Amino acid sequence: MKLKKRVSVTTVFAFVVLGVVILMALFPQLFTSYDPTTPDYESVLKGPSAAHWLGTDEVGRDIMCRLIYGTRNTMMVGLGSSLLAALIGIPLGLIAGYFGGLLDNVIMRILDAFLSFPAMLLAILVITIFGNSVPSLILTIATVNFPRFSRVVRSNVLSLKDREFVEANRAFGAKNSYILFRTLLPNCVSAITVQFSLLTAVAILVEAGLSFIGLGIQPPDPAWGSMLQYSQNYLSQASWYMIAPTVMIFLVVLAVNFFGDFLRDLFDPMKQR
Amino acid sequence: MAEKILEIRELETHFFSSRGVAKAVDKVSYSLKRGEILGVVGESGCGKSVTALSVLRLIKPPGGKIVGGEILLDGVDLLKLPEREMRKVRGNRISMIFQEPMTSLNPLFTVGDQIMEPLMQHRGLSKKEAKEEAVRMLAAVGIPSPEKRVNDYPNSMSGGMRQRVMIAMALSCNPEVLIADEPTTALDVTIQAQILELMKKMRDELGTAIIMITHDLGVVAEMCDRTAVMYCGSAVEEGPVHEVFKAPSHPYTRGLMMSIPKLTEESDRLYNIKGSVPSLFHLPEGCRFADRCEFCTEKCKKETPPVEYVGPNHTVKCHHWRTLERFSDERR
Repeated sequence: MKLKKRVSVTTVFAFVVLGVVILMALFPQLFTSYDPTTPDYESVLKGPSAAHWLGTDEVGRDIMCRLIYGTRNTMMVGLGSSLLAALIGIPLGLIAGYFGGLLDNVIMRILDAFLSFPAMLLAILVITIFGNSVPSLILTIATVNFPRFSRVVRSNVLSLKDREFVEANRAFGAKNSYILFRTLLPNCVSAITVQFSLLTAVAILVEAGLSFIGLGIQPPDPAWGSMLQYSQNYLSQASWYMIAPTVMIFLVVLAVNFFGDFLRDLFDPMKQR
Repeated sequence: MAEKILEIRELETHFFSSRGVAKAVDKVSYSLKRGEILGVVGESGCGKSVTALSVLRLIKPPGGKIVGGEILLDGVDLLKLPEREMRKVRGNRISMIFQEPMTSLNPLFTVGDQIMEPLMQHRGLSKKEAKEEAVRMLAAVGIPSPEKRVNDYPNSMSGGMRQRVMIAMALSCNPEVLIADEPTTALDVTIQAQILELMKKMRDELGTAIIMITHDLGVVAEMCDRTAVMYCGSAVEEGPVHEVFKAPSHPYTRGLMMSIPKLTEESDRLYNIKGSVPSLFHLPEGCRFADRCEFCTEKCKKETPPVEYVGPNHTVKCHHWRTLERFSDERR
């Protein structure tokens, strides 16, 4: 793939936001001098000020600091679970769609079973088995989300596999693995990236939901989803509290989405003029 | 030159569905000599394409299955090869080009990449060698400035050019047999002529035998050495083009010939073969064509006609081909 085309505004936005977020996740101490977990009962639920740019939370911790330190957990859960879901879901979808028949039926019915479980119930189950930690949160949310990848990929494969170039591939002696991963998969990329950015947002919110019942990132460790969850309790006294995590989730989801568009354009020769 | 490179013997390919068994190909036999162009003609749904796909064993289970017969490539039965060996045949010894050049190429890869793929897989060329070969093939099929075009994506090419690319791809490994499934149907007439010319030229240069599947009798007359006429899943007549066209021995072939409008004769209505093709689910007993045939007798409805020799290279499946010939002579 050649990178010789004009870079769009959305691509720049995506790279800037994701770059900053990655820096925040890797080196949070560069961005703030506060400690994210030490309470300060002198300044509880204070509005934005010179000392605390985004105000303080219910035990007087700096919200900006918690936002920055929460990036790592949030991104690990959000991106990690989507990556894992993609890693499991995409091959299943490819196989189900391409081979069809009984295999397709078996795979898709099992995935339907996964989808028919309420996400929370499934999450509680996984966390009960594997304990409460970031990896098990990733696993939990991936378990909830991977059938969605399979479905999208399968439906794409179903329409692609009877296209003549797939038939031509076989007529030129290509192996099934080649057709699956080199012919069909690249043609599914745009659908996959859209799904990926949507599910990343969902994952961040599922983590918030899990925090609500005490199964998410455990306090006092910060995460955007749980911050959003707690801020609801103080909506009338400290309305600024919820804005910061909301905006961050929004920006990241948007950036992942734009990054998906960038990837799609990179793979789409129609746009390479 | 007379040696048979590909021989199809009593091939049977059936499709199984909830409505029953469709005998899409029912005991089809025809053969292809080295370096020859064989035209397979017949109306839609008569099994031309299915026969071709069967040769490459590309009929997809669970719907379709090759249930009987032999396909001999240089004496080796392809139907008995394991899938691994079969992959070495596809694209290497037998390759295929398709009807729709617009969709036969993967839109996400450059044409060069796609031509290189079989070269690297079958002939073990390195990436660099394969690329050089791809450029050479593009030049051979008449693509201007091939060293630039090799990096182009299919969407920047016209239908005619894409078909040229397909031909380059199909011939890159120098196969013994090329199956062309209606290669010019989707192209406009001037491009058609160019593509046919190109295929003929490639045959002359590389000695590739070609199976030309078409319903265009003009293409057969123009291009082919021999022709096989298919009707309802079986090959009803096979022989040298000039013999079959001049003196068709099967009533169906005769009907086809008569339904071509002639420039020299004035007539208001075109001839058409009465009736329609029987359903593949309920094939009649005896001769398939019996219901539509003007020479039909009781015997035709009961007994399947055997393969009979009209000439040394000319076979027909009809009980009455001898009287038919007399009939045509009288008409003339």
